[in-house]
Amino acid sequence: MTAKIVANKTKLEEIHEKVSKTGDLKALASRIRVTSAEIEELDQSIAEVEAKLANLAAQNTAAETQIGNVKTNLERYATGQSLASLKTSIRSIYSDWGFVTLASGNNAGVMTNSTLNVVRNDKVVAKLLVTAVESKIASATIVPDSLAAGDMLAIGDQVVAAVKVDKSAAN
Amino acid sequence: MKAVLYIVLIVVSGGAAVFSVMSSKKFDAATESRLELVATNKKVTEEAAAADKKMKEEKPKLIALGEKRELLTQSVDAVKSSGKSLATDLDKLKTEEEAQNEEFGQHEKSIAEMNSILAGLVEDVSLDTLPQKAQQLQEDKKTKQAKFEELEVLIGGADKRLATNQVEMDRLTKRVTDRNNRIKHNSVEAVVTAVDQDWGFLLIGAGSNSGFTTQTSLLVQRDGRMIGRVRPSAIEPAQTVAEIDRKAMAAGVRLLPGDHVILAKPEAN
Repeated sequence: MTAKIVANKTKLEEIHEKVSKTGDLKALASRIRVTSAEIEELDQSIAEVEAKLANLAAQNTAAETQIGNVKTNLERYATGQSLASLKTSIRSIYSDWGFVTLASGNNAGVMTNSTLNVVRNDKVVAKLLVTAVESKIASATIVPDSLAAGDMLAIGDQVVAAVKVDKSAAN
Repeated sequence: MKAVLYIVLIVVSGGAAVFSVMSSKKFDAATESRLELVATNKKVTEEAAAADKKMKEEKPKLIALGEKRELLTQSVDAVKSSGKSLATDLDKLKTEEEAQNEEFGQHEKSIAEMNSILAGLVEDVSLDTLPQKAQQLQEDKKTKQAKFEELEVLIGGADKRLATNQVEMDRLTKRVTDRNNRIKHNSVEAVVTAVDQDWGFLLIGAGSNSGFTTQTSLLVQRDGRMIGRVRPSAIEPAQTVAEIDRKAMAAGVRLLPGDHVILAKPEAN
């Protein structure tokens, strides 16, 4: 019995030592529970904040793309270039006055002072210089000597934006 | 009388004889008894002497035995005392063991309660692993707290960036809208509502709402032909007063109500 008591004493001393390090077990367990609850709450908050951040990042990306597009357009306006993807046609022709009107205007990306190509069978048959633009219509003069002798423009001829050569790059 | 005396003498003699015989018998019996008593006394005396002798012989033994008994009594007392002491010690040990068992029980109960409190949160927590687990949870919490704070900073940055982008977008959109509005006004065509030939001005049924400004030069056309030029002098939202540029007028042409005006110089950008 004495041996058992001594062994128990040793065991209890070990337990006391451990308990002295951990403190009150119930209090510690309660603290762990509280900490776990806080961690769970933090996980939720992090998930929410991450979602919000992803949403903000997406909004920023969209806004920056939009800003980029608008800036490109503004730059195009400043440099006098019609929209590269412009596709329109000749609406009317005033041969005596040397100008035509186009079936599209500002809304389609036609720019005053920009150069356009009249295309027929994938070949440029004439060049136009836009002189005035309204929302849905534009007028352009025929660039002298761009139309081959004997050729005539026709209503419905396809008109596209001419690629502007960057002179500084060309040089 | 003599007879009677004789008879009495005979009776008394007979009585004395009888008495004498009886006393003799009693004397014999008493003598015999005395002899027996003497014999008995002698025997008893002998026996007493023997016993005395024996007693004398046994006395030292008795004394020795007495001493031995005394010693034994002391030993028994000592043993009894030791026994009592041992019983007390045993009781103490039993009490101590019970206290230890109770303490073990309390610890087990505490651990069971702890496990019950922590049920579903952490698995198989023991007294050995609990401090580590608590430490680990604290570190986990700190890490997550730091991450949360970092994310909030990032959110703040993203919010600012978005606000900046929105301001920039609004600015650019306004530029584009203004430009589109200017170009939209290029197609404006208004009607001359009144003409004062004497004073050389006319009224046009459109004003600042249509983009007219005092700097806007207007052409007057009739049936698609340009017949003159006017210059706005006073502009209201829906009406414009314009002076007729007589130098630009074709010879013999008079401007009339119903003539149309258009922009002389459309907005380019």
